[in-house]
Amino acid sequence: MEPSRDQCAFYYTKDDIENLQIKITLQQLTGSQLVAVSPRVVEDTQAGRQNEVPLASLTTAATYPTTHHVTVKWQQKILSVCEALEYRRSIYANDPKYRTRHKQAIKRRKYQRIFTYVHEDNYQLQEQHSATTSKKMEQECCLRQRANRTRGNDSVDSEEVSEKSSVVAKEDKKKRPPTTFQQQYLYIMADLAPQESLGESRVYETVLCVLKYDGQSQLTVTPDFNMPTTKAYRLESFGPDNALYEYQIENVSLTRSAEERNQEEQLANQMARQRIEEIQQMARLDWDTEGQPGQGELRLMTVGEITRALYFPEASSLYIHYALYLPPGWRVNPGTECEGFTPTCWLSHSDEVAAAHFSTPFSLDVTRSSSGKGWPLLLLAAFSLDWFGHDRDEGYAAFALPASGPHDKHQVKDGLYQVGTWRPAQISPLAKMRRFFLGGCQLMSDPSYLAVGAQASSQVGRVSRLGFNTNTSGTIELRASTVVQADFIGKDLQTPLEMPPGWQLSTVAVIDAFNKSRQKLRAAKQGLL
Amino acid sequence: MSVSSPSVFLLSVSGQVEAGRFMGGDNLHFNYCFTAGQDWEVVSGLEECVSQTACCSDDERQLFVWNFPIDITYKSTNPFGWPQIILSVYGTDFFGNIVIVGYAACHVPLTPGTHTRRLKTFVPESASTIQKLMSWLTGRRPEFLNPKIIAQGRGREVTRVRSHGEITITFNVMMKDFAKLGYDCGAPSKVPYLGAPPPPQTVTVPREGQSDA
Amino acid sequence: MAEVHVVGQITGASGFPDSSLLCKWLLQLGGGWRLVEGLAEGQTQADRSEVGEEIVWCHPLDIHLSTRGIQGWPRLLLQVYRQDALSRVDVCGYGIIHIPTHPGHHTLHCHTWRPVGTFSEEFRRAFLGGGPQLLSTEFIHSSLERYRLSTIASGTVHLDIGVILREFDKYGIAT
Repeated sequence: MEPSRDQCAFYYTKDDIENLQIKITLQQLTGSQLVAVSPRVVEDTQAGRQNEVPLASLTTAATYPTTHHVTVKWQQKILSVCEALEYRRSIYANDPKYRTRHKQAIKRRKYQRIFTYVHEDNYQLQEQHSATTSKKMEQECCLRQRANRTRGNDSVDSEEVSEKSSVVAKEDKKKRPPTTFQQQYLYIMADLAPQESLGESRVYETVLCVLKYDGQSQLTVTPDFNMPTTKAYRLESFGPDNALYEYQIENVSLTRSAEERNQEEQLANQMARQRIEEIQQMARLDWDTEGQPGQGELRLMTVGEITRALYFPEASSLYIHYALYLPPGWRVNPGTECEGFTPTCWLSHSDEVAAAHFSTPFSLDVTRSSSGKGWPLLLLAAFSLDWFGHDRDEGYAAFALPASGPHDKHQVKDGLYQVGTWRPAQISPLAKMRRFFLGGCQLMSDPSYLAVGAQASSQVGRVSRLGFNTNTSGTIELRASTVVQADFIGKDLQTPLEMPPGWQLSTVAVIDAFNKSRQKLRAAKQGLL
Repeated sequence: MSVSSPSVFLLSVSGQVEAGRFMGGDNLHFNYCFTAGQDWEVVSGLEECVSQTACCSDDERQLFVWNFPIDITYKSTNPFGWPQIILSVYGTDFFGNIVIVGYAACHVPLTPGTHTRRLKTFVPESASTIQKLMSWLTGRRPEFLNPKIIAQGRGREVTRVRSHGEITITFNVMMKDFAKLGYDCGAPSKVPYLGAPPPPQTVTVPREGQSDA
Repeated sequence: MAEVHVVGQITGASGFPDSSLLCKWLLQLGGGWRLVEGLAEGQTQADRSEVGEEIVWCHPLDIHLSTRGIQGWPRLLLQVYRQDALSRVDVCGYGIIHIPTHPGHHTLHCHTWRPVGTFSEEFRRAFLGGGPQLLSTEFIHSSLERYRLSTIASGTVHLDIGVILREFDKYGIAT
C-alpha cells in the first residue's frame, strides 16, 4: 500500500536550518509517450500479414527524461517551467529585482519538472485564501497590517530584502529577538503536464512536499520523508496522458563535525556571558542614601490602597478621608502625602454585597528616631453624601501600619486588611430623627483621640472611654505592604519585631533588648581576649 | 562559570495536567508546550507533548481527566522570561472535525513546593456572524497560527476571544542555587525578619578570633 | 543595586455588568526606579464571556526593574474598557494596585470604579455608549481634587502576581 500523502511529521532541530538538504526523485511510471517509446510490433489481423509499424527511434527516449533527481536546500529557488519561460524575456535582464531569476531562467534545463516555491513567492497565501471566507479584494485593515509587521510576514519588503547580500540577511536573522515568530514555507512542486504541453499553463502544478519552519526549532514536513523500507508516494496527473508518477523524498542534510559543534558551544557560552554582563550593566544603579535611617533609627514605608468599603446599608454614596497620625519622635520623609480623600463612590451590588470601590493608593514613608515612642496610625473617616449633597459621618477607624509581611495574623489574606468602623451614637430619638432627615454629623473634634492608646502617657495611667457611646458601622478594606529599613537588620542577627494586639506597640523594648545583647557580646569578647 | 560562586540556577518542574471541565465538548486532547525567555535553556525533560484523547465522565461532574505528566528542567542566569506553560485543547465538533476548544497559559510557580493552578480557557472568535456560520459549517474554526503568542504580552490587543471551560494543573517546583545568586522568592522555609512566631533568640558567644557582629 | 522581578498575569475580571471587556495596564514607577527588561504597558485581548461568568484575559506580565531606593514602589494602573460588536470602546472601570513588597506569589483583586455623570448622561450611556471618562489619569493616583470626582463601583480585576527580590537585605531592608 502506498503511504498517504497528507500525513505530516514534526521535527525538532537545534541545527541551523541552512544545513537542510532534501533529495527528491520523481519517476514517471506510465503515460502515453512511454508507450510510443517501447518497441512493439503491431499485428494487422485482417489480412494475416504482419505490418511493421515504423518504430520510434530509441534516441528520442533520451530527450524526454522520465526520472528527475533534484537536491534542494532550504529556501532555494528553482524556477518552474512557466516561470522560466516568463523570466527568460529580456525585460527582466535589466531589472535589478529579477536579474538573478532571469539568469536562472536562461541556465535552466528544459523539461525539468521539479521546482520550488520559496517563502517570498507567497504560495502559502493562495492556499490560505481558499480557506478564508473574506473577499480577495478586501482591503487589509490597519490591525492586520500591524500584526503582520510584528510577525514579520510582510510581503511588501521581502523582494527588496532578498536582493541584498545574503550575508547581511543572515546576520539580521540572528539578531532578531526570538519573540517574532516568522513561519517560513518551502513548497517543492512538480509540473505534471503532458510532455507536449509542458510550460503552457500552471494547472498541472502539484505539491510534492510542504516544509514549514517556525523560526525556532520546529520543522514540519508534509508528507514525511521516505524511509528505505517504505514505498514511494504516488501521484496521478489528471491530464490527457493519464500519467502515473512516483516520487521519494530523502533527507540528506549536512551534519557538522564534532569540532564545529564544540566551537559553536564555546561561542554560545561566550554570548551568554556577554548577555549577563549586559543585563547587569543595565540594572546597575547606585544605592540612594537619601532617606536612609541613622544609627538606631527605623524607617517604615507602607504602600497600599484603600480598596473598598462594605456593609454601609444606610449610605448611598461614600468617600473616605484618610490622615496619617504620627506619635512624637517620628518624622515624615519627603514625598509622602499625609492626608487625602478618596473619590465619592456610589454603592453598587457587584459582588452580592453593597460596596463602594475606591482603589485609592497611598504611600507613607516615615522614620522613627531613636527617642520615638508609639506606632503610626492611619486614621480613616467615612462620610456619605445624600441627595441634597449634605455630608454625614458613617464611620471612624484607626489602622496601625503593619510592621511585618504576610505572616501577620491580623490580615485576611495576601496583604488585605479589613478594618471595622464605628460612629458616635445618637442617644435621644430627636437626635436620631435629625440625623436621618437633615443629615449633618457629629465630627470628632480631635481625631487623635482615636490614637490615645499609643501615647507615651498611657504607659503610666489607664485609658477610660466610659460614657462615649458608639454604633458599629461598616468595614473598610485596605491592602498594605511594608518595607522596613534599619541598620540592625542583617543576615547574622535576626531581630523579631512583634506587633502586639491593639495599638500598644513599642519598638523601644526591642531595641533595648538588642543593645543589651550587643553589650553582652562585647563583654564576652573582652573576657576572652 | 566559576565553581565557587554559581552564575546559573536550576529550576525543575514536575507535575501533571489533571483534568478539565468543558461544557459541550467531547473527545478532548491537548498539546502543551513550555516557553521561556532568551536566557533560559532546557536542560532535560519534555518541552512539547500531546496528550491522549479523553471522553467526558458519565456523572454530573462533566470532567475530562488526563493525568498527563509534566517534567522539565531549565537553567538560567536571569529570572526574566520565567517559563510559561501553554495549553491548546482540541476536540471534535458535531460533524467530527477536530477543532480548537480552548487555550490557556500560566507561569510556572515562583516558589518551591506543590501548587495547584486552575486556568480558565478561551478560544478565538470569528470577526463576523457570516464567518461564524461558515466556520461552523466547514469545521475550520479560527485558531492561533502559533499558540506561543498567548505567552506574549505584545500583539494581543487585536484578538477577540470567548471564554469557557477550565483546566487544573499541579506543579511541583524545585530550585537550586536561586538564593545563592541573591534572589529572594519568598520561599516558606526562610525565617522572616519581622513578625511571625519567632524561635527564642540565643546570644552566641563569639569564638576567639571572630569579630563583633 | 537592588532588583525586583514581577512575574505573573492579569487573569481576568468579574462583577462587570458588560460581557465583552478588555483591559489596558500601565506600570508606574518612582523616580529612582529603572525598567531593565520587559514591557511596562500593554493591552489585553477582548474577551466575551457568557452572562454571569468570569472574563478571562490570561495576559502575562514579566518585568525586570532595578532601583536606587525604596521610595516610589511600582504600581499597576488598570483601565477596563468594554467593546461592542462594532468595535467601539467605552470605559468601564479604573483601578490602581501596588505591587506587593513581600516576595512570593500573591492573588490580588483590584476593585474598580467608573466616573458617573448626570441622569441624562447615564441614560445615553446605557443605550448608545460613550459615558464620561477621565481626561487624565492623574486623578487616580494624586489626591488633589479627587474628592470632587463622582464615581460608581464597578467590577473587580483579578491578578496573579509573583515577586522576586534581589539584594535588598544588603541594604538593611526587610519586607
